[in-house]
Amino acid sequence: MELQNRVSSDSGAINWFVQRLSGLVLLILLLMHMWIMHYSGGEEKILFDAVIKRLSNPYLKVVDICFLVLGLYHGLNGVWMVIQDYIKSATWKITLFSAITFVGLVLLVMGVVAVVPISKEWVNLP
Amino acid sequence: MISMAMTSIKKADKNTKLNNPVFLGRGKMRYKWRTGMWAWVLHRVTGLGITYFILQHIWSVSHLQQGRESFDNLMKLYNLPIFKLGELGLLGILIYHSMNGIRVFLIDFYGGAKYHKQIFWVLTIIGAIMFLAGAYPFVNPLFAGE
Repeated sequence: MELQNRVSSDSGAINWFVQRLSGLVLLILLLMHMWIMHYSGGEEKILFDAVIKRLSNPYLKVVDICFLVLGLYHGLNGVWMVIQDYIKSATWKITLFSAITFVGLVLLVMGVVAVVPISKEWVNLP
Repeated sequence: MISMAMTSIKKADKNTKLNNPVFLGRGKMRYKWRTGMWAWVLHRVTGLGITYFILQHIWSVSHLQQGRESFDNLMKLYNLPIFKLGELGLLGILIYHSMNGIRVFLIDFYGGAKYHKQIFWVLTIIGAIMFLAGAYPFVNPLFAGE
């Protein structure tokens, strides 16, 4: 009965492992993020000009995109794990899995589009 | 002899207590409420909270494309006390999820299951210190008389 309700043939072992691996990398990225954003310097860093100056650095863009991809994967995979624990209906599982994937892809595109095009020139805009 | 017997009774008592944990909830939500279960439930709840925050964060950062005014107005909104309080909550949630994440890692890969309760309390203390250190910049301006 249980087996028939499963959405895929995947046992979840890979998800389980990647969840831990991404968690570990996210912890390191989070420490970097907290240091750069909240401890080294003042409040004005979270205003337009300062953010543009900082995010026009291509290395920080790469770090940010890694943070985005891993954060979304880890977060939405976690939601999927919670759903699997409480919802047994195959139809609901497929529906929710599709919804999560869709939300994930939309947010990934939103994040990439928001960060990648940033250039120093934007500071001169009115 | 009597004291030995007392000790064994006490031990048995302790074991009975451990083997008869408090059950709360119904059906799929019926859990044994002990340290590990609290840690697990809080990990889920905080995880869901952080995932919601990621959605809002991406939405906020995407305001950069709409120019200075749009972005800075949003940042002004986030400076309201209610959002500052939310940020403080977010800090606590992130620290809990990180600390318990380390515990999960130790249990799964380094045989921490035997000591999971000790690990929980040690990490809780470290987390509480981190939270207080992190909360200081939030709380300090309230008393600086600005």
